[in-house]
Amino acid sequence: MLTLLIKDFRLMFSGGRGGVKGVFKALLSLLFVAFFIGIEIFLFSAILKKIENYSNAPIAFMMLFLVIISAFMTVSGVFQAKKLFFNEQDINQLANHPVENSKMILSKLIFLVAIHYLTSLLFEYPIFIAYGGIFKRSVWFYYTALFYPLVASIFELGIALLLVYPVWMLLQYLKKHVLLEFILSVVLLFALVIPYSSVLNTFVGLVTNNELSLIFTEESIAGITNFVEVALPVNFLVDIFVLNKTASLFPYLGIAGGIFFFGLTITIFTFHRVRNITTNSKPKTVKYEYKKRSQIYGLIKKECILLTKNPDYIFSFSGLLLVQPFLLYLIVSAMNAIFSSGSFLYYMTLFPNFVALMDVFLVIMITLIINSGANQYIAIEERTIKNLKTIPVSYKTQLMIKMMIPYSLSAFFLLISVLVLLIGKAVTPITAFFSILLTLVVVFVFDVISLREELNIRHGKPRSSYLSTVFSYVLPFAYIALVMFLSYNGVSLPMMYLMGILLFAVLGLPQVLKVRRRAGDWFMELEAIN
Amino acid sequence: MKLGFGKKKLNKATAEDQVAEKTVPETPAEEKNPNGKKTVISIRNLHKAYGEKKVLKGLDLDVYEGELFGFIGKNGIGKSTTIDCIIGSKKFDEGVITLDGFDVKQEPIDAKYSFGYVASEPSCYEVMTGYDYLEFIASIYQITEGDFVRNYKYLCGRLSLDEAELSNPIFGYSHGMKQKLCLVASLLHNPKIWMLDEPTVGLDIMAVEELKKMMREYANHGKTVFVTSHNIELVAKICDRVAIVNEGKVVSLFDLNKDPNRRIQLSKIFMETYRSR
Repeated sequence: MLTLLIKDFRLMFSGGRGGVKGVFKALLSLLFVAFFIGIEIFLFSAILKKIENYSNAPIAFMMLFLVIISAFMTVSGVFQAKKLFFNEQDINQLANHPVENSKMILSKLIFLVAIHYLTSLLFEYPIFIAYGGIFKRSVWFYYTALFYPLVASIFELGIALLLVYPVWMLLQYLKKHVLLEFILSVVLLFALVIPYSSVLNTFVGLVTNNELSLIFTEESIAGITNFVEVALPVNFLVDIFVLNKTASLFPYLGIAGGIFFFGLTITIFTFHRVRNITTNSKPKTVKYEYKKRSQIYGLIKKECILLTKNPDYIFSFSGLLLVQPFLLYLIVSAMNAIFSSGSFLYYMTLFPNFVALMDVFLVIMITLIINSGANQYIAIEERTIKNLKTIPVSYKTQLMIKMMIPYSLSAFFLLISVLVLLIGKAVTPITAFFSILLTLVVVFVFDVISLREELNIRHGKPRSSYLSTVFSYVLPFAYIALVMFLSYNGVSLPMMYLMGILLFAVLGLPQVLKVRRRAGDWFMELEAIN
Repeated sequence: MKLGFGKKKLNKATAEDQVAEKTVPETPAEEKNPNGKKTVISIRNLHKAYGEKKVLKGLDLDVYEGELFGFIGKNGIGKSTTIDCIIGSKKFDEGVITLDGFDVKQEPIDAKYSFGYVASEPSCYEVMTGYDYLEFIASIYQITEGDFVRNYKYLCGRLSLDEAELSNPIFGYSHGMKQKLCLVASLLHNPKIWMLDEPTVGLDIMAVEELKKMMREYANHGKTVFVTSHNIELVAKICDRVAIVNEGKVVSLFDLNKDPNRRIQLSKIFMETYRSR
């Protein structure tokens, strides 16, 4: 059983490292978690303090946060359960081993509950700490709150187990219908962008008006209260853990327990079914029409297929590219509104070009983040690295095509995005022009560095991405800090933009030259799996 | 171009095709062995080490046109390393390898046109359909429309790979089907050398028998087949010559046609090679 649990742990967190690097990574993760909890407590306490005088607002908002986390954890539970129960590789490997089905299922279930509990605890407990601190709750409150995520997980995992098989079936179907998968991904992304825009608007309203009463009206609080009263499982759980109405425990356990066991039964049944079926569809007769094309055409087509038919890339790169203009406009216009109103107006007189520079910074960062979803040039090849090495095409041509396709797509959608910003009057023509130039330089250097990191993947270990992280996140921040200082000293905007282009080009040039010089050796040293 | 199998399925490239295929290299001056056969694979003093561990220590080998050559050895002895060096997938420390007269270090692209390679594990793009993959290979080797259709139809037929399956994504194929697809892809451009590294892994018995026939036919049509396998019986049955590799060098080289007893005793010779060292 322990072996199975360790195997499931590796399955869920594949790519882990051992030794000093592993300890370092674990420490970093721990620091990140501590930082995250600290920030969460700080933010939630600040919000609660602001609204504690509005009747019912604190509990309503706490419930709202818990509902959002619960929804998030349920969706996350579906994908965790899918990875544990319906992983093809795992199913194939286990099929050859003398392991009882009940042990397999139990180990997966224990792991699922444990990981779900710990993640929920990370998100939910800080909210209880903040709430308890503001409203001076006893030690008993903090102690019982530790069990909140566990009790909530009965319901959340129950729903997740109910949904995991239909979701798996849907994903299997979409794998074979790429266009439909692409359309659904884009629709989903737009569906996420819309609530995001309303949250952003609320935040902008909060900051620019600096008037809580506009948001926390009696109607809005009543609306939230009405909503959370019917929002399972939080309505029951807040009764039990916050309002001490323990009578709610039994109806909750009845409902949540029933859903959990129903979900578990379906999952066990479908787990056995999936282990015994082949997912291949019936062959159909298709007429093929081949036309002789150039090698470049063949390579470009191959890269496009790898980028567009891989579910990971559809969501993270291709899908996000399409929403980039909308997303960028939302964020840039929100930021402009925030920094052009209230007390910010005073500070902006000290830093006259702050808003324009912030806009450029946002254009760079969002383009970089989306582009980073497609720069796994070598990792995407998996077992086919040997193909790269044995086909009669020079490594330079292959690597150039690998890098230039995502770069060209990023550049194209950058142009559209900046055009949208310009038409929507979110940026001036000068800022639009230089934001394109600066972003193109930064993304190019980032892609070259990513290529260097990809070409140095060895021994099946994940890519080391320290250099690209420094270049993509640390340097843009450093640049913004520098130009703020220059802005304070009255340096003109075009001059600061030109300095940015020069800075990134000068810092990136050694990397470009190094990749140009060493790429051939690195390419040959890439490990082909036999 | 002419696919090296039975007479019925020969495909012919026109003079126009030959002129159009400028990227396909011209064969350099022929090097012939004393028997009058052209040397197609030539390995001289091949050295390769992984860190401190020396795997190949001055390996020499000549493989001629029109022969089916078996390259055998126990696990971890350097068979795959040798084949990886030949196909340009691994750098080697010292030595010279030429394929059809092209030095794999100096003229890697020309050398790569000369062979078709099949790995022990299928290596094709799983998100592509089988047809997409063959089309990709065809565009890389600049195969004409006519040759492509003739070759893939013929090869699919020989290996019992259902053409209708080619419209499905490869990730849904069985291991054997993926291997068959890789076999088809390796021969699409009708290479002078067919390199196979443990090609029978995962294939059903009918496919193995067909593959054996295909290897033999390919060699009979003047092409060279270079195969590594753990299956000594298979090698003994079909190969013209066999090399046994040990301690980084070729330690035994037999012409099984000239000395049929060796064919029968190959398993024994193989065992003795490693027992005595």
